[in-house]
Amino acid sequence: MKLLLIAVLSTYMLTACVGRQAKWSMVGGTQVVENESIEVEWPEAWMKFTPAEADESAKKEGLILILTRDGIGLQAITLKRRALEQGLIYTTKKANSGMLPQELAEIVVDDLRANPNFIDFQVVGNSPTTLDGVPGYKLVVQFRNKAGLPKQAVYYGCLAKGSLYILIYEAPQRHYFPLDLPTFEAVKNSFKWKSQGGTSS
Amino acid sequence: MKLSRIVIPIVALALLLPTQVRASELVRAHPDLASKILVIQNVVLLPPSISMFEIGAGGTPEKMEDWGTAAQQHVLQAMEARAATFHLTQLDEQSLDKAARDNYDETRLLYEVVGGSISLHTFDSNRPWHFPEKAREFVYSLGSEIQQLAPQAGAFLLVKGFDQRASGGRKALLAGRMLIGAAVGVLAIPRSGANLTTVALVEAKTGTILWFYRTLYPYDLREATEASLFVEDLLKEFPTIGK
Amino acid sequence: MYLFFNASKRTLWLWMVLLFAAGCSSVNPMGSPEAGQLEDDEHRLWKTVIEEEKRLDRSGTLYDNPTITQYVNKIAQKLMTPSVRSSPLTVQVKIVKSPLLNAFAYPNGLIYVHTGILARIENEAQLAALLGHELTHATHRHTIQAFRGVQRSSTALATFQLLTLPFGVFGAAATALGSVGYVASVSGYSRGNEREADREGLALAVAAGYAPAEAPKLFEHLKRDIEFHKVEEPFFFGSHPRLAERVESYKELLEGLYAAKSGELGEERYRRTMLPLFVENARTDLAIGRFELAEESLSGVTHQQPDHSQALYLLGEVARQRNGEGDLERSEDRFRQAVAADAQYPDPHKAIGMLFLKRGDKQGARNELQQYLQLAPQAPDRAYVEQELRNLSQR
Repeated sequence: MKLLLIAVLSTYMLTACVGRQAKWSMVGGTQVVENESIEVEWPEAWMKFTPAEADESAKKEGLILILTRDGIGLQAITLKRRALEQGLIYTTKKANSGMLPQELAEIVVDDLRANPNFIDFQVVGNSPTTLDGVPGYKLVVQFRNKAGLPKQAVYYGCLAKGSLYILIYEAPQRHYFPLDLPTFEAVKNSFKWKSQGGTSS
Repeated sequence: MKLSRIVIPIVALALLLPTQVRASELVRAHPDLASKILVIQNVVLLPPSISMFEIGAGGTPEKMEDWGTAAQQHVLQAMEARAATFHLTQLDEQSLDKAARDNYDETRLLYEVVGGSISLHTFDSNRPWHFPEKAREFVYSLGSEIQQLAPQAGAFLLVKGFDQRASGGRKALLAGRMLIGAAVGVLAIPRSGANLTTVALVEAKTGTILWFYRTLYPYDLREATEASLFVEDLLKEFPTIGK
Repeated sequence: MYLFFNASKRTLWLWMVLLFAAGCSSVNPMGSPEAGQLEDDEHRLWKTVIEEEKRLDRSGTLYDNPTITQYVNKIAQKLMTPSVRSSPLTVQVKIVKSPLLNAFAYPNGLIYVHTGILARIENEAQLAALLGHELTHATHRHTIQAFRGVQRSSTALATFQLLTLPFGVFGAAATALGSVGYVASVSGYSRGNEREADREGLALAVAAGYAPAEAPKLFEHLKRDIEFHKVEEPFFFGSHPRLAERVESYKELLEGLYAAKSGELGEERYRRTMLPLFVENARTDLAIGRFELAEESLSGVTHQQPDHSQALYLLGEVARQRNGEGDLERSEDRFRQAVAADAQYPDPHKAIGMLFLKRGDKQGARNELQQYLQLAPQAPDRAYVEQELRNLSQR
């Protein structure tokens, strides 16, 4: 993931001229996520990164956007979508539409365990939840990044419209994780599935 | 993702970076620096961390431990020589017990990410990844846990440097990938010459970064004279400690 | 996940060419009268190694089973000659929790072996051959020869810095590898040094009383495994060409030096002691979706111990998660066998409950899920099960 972030940031300057370019923009207030029919309330004065349309790494990850206030390494709210047939990244297991939230959480955990960027990975919380009424899971995990910095993350996920949607909050364990956790929970609680035709952000 | 797909854009990106940095672009300060600095009586220096790399003939960087050790020593000596100006004492790494050692390691690792984020997002306002709100309202922290490293300290001083030089003296300024890598907490090694040194004054009680200094000047810190020059340049921007 | 690894395969090839071309600038083995002191560059190398070892030890990937670790070290100790004991080497084996086929030695005598390769080994004789091979890399100072062969090891370092190995925390030990570990575990040494490790390592195993014929069997087995299961692994012992070389090398030794030599296998002792590791390693294979490998390993466990409830349960999970033809019935059958083996083991009850839930058998689901919570009141997934029970009572 982190290498992806480097990649997306680095390709910003020389991205192909056709299609949407990668960009940073300041956000705040209620917005509809472009192309996703999801409405969400973004925290004021945070910065949103949207990858270029042609960014293959971002597509592979299913990355839609990243939000941060201080810098991605200090706090990141990430929204991803992976089509069911795409499978996950680091495990060969696949989600299917008949899966119970617990089963979905299980393969997401397996995928996270297999992520080479997570050292000393542990699940500290795993419980059912909903994302605007759609049954899903909430995972709370701890790990160290490759440099050895302890980090913590919260993953909300569910199956909707033939895809696995994941909303993630990740930050260093010290100071930063508790700092913006309430902000992230507010974003999650504001999450709404919209029908097609909502106004774009 | 192919390596070249990352490297080529970074090289091009870096060539667009300014080669001369104005004085006003060296420093960022907390909004309450002026009042907070008055109550600081002593500053504890964490051992400087300088990583030095040589770019080999094939263009790949090799970490030179001996160079880094020499650079750290020279910077330490240069700062000790000006200890009175900095109100400086040194943290004795060897005396740390296990818990303190873990705290120390985490502090340093967090600083790499914080320092990288500051460098990337609060300087160079013409860059797409510039965060105007953060530049305007400069608030970053290393967490209040830092106080436990030296309970009597009023503030801590952290020095972190990356230095690369090509063998045969060939150099190009290429800080882009390093900045980005540092900002996301990954050790990213650029493939050509680059320098980035940061210094942070941290309020001990809260971990708040009160003052942050960034220079891209290619001091050769393996040389004692260059380390002294670095410290003198730093002192020109350093806030006055205490009353 | 293979993006950076694919980039580094080209560099790996270059590295191997350089190593091969570097030739065998030999140094005298540790413990020999001609060995002398460590040279300056060797001293620096050992210092680097200490840092790499610390990183590996902190990586959270060491396998925590003192009985098994002690057992493997006992076998390593049997291989040590008096001259090696009196050398600067400190021979110690550490086990890494990773399903990947890997074993490597640092120049100071520290050997790391992955659970993945230990799970494929069939007896002590095969383990002795593997440890003997690795120990010889240390005693015969192959690492410093390799580093001298490539100026400043910049290629290895660059490759390491960019290497993104698969299977996350299971490959995370590799993430913690430095340039020395990379050479030792991924690229390997020159052909000449590898054959020397085969020859001298086998001599150690034979001197310790082990049957030499087991050496080529181990590598044939590993080779067959990666062919059959079509696994792509980054390490030396997961590389088809390198394994093929080992088989050939050991067969030549058998035909020559050890034509009529027999020895101990230690099969029963090995399988009995390592049983928990087989199960644990199968669990990690299951986590990354290597269903066939997990199933093969667990079937071996249940063949040895038919009432091993955890293995039976995991076999059920293999079938359930693989979800192939006939797997649903297979999974239920295995879960029921697990319950029959140990009715107090909670997990199969939950698994059966979930199957009932999906089938629409509300009463059956309720009974099994309640049983699960009674047996595991502190279960980490309690919240899910309670949610399902609430849903059942509302329907």
